[in-house]
Amino acid sequence: MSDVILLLMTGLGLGALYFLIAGGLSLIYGLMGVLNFAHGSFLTVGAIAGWEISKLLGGDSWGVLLISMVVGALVGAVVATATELLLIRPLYLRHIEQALITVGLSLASVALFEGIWGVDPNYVSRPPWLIEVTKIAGALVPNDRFLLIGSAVLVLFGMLAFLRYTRFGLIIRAGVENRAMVQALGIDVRRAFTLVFAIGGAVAGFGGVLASQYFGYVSPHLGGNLLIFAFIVTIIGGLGSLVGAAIASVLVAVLQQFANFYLGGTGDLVIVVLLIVVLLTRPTGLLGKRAH
Amino acid sequence: MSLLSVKSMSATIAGQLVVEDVSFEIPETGITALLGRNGVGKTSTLRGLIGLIDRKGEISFGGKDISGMPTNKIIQLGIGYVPEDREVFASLSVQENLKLAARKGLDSRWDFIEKLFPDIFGRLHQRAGTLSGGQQQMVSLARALVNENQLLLVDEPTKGLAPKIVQETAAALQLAAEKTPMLLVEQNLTVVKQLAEDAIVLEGGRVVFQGKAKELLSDEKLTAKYLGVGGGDE
Amino acid sequence: MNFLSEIFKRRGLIVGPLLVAAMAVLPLIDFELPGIFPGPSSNPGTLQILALALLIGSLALSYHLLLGVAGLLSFGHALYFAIGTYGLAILLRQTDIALLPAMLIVGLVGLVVAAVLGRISLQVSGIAFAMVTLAFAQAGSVLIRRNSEITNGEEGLPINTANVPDYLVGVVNTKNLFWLALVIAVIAFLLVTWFEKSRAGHVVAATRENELRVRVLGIRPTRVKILAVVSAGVIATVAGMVYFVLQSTASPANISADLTLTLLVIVVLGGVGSRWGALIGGVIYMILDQRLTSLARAPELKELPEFLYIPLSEPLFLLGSIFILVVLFLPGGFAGLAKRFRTGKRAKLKELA
Ligand SMILES: Nc1ncnc2c1ncn2[C@@H]1O[C@H](COP(=O)(O)OP(=O)(O)OP(=O)(O)O)[C@@H](O)[C@H]1O
Ligand SMILES: [Mg+2]
Repeated sequence: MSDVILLLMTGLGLGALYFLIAGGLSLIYGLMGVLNFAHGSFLTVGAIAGWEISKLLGGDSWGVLLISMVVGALVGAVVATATELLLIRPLYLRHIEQALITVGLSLASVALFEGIWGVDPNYVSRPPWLIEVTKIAGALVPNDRFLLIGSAVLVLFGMLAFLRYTRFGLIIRAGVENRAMVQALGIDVRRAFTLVFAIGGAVAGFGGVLASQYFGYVSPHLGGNLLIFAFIVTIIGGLGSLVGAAIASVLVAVLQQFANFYLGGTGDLVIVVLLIVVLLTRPTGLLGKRAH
Repeated sequence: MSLLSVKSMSATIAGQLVVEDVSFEIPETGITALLGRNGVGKTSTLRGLIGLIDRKGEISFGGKDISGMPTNKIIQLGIGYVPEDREVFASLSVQENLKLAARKGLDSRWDFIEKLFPDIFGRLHQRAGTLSGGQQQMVSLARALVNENQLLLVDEPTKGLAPKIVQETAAALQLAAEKTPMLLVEQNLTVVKQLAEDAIVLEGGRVVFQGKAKELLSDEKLTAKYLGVGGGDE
Repeated sequence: MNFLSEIFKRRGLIVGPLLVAAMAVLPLIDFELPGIFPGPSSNPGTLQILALALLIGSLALSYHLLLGVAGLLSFGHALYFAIGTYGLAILLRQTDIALLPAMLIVGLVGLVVAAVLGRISLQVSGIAFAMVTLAFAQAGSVLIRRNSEITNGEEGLPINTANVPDYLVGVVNTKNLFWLALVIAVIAFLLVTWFEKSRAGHVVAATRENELRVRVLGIRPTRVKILAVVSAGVIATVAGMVYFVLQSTASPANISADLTLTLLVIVVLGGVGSRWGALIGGVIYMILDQRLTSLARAPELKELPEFLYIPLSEPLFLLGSIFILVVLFLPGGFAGLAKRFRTGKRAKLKELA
């Protein structure tokens, strides 16, 4: 029983990280048709920014962590916005070239991170509570899981509320369904493009700080390693669907943990098989082409 | 002076020429019908006008050159577009569809919507994807009519509707056209006869007739030649 | 005029053999290319780099067959390269099979895997195809990492030279491996050329434009696409095997998504649809990759200010940046640029499919 709870909580924590990348990824694809390979770098840059600021401020208090989360989100948003304005927008609606550009950006940025911060992990300081454990029904659950799960749930509901109750959210939901028609109602859909990049970047940057808390370090490959799983999650959940991404994140991460534990470390393999099955039987994913 | 003037417009979809060399003018009042056989490029002409597909040529609207403008800017000049096949946002509610379209907010338009489209007024919170075809057509029309426009572009609004609904739609169009001139693509010649003063006929990617609708529809030879049907009544 | 254009058209027939002949004599002479070659061309270090470059060039050619000819965007092509490196490494270590039969077996494995996975992945198209291929490669990567008793995990699996003929072992014999790599590059090039010119090539090219029309003509495009996938897979497997003998290790990097993405970048840089672009792009990339790593250690470079030194010493940073610039400003890649140069007029920029 305690194994099950520990695996579940760890899976949920990891699922939270997957969601923080996959959510933005899915919205961007749904609205713009751009498969964003640079999304992992948005996460990495957020993680690095958060780590640098916490080094600057020193200490391992909650206040410092909070500030580094905000800084990570801001830096992620700024980098993503710049990416959209400078690299994606000039290739308006040329999806293959846009995806290629993000491939180039991801290769170049990871290499740059390696050049500046080195290839080795840089360890982060954490509030002491996060390293402690809490006993739940006999299982000793590391506290950082709670932080991850709580944050991801907040982000999910925040994004859903934004989509539901704001005019920009309305434009994004409509754009995911039919971009040309939004334009034909006199709305500049490109502003929504920039906005989803900014949101996706902010969430990924925020996720970067959380990922560094979970893994205990930042490295140039932090985002890239998570990105592959985020892609898988996005496809399984249905490109363009936020709720789909959330469900698939949990599904994938929990399945991965259980398969790793009970099926001799086959977690990644099971996920790949799941992806292939979903693609071949239901190519639009669980909830395809809906922004919410 | 005409409201919309098009000179040798050509349009392409994925590199393929779908409108070759179209020129016409739209007067400042009334309904002008855009006619022609299936696949002749009527929809593409409308889409080209507002920049939804790549186009070349001189297009001026209210004296302004709009041939290089992006779609949203053109629409904001005061054009309401009702696409072929409705294209309502299926996952959004009726109200959200209207809200999205209303450039100056919806508040002052409720009476108007209730009067013109009582059926959808009672279903504001229903998801548009679950509406019947006729109701979806009303939403699509309402989306164009919630704004004060200079021109309406309406593409086959009666396609696939029951005769009774066709008449309701025609009535709504007539009401709308009292205030705003309209370029109307329509296959149902009864409706054309009922509504349109002027007519433009496309064939082979070009304009082959521009004149009074009555002239065209009362001449059986002409209608047979251009539209492939005999006479005006179906 | 006509005569000239005819020569231009057939220049491949003249330039190709000349180029191959010139390459073939490199190990026998002391040709120097300062800054690009680390030493004279007979030097094993130089030959090693050139051989690697030719193999990556062949690999890029095989990717060109997928993307440029069949219009298939694969994110998992490195899988076949790794079947070559790891397949041969494992056979040489675990069995007593001699090199040549071992290579035949591995080549056959590459062929069968490509046929089976190709059949499955071609059920879907577009981005979904890309994701399925990524997933297959990812599964391969997981298998390699997890089964470290056989694959030696992250460390990479070193070569067991017991069954490798003497003339392929050791630094002095690098020239033989270079010639082998040259032969593979030539065969790959001819194979790809033949595929493009054959009926099969025309069919896939036609499906790239209009799948429906081909179906109407009664040809099954899927079968031809599988042929493209299998040919590309076998070329990649063969290139991987020689790459392994040359590098003496099979490493997890052989199957990384980064390798596939690098191939994608090379093919786009060379100009999608251009054989020469892919081959030469692969060769130049590998030379840059090898040379930049050692150039980065050059004392002159270390004296540069940090903001210049760091980016310049990262080959992937340069590659990625050049790539971004090319996609933004040079549709058609370098092959497109060369063509515009040749024809003397600024041809209209062709959009990528
Ligand atoms: N997405 C597309 N790709 C390629 N060709 C297209 C596309 N859309 C339309 N066409 C072609 O453009 C031509 C004009 O089409 P269009 O829809 O404008 O005709 P239409 O006059 O509106 O026909 P209908 O009366 O049937 O609505 C047709 O030959 C059609 O096949
Ligand atoms: Mg039409």
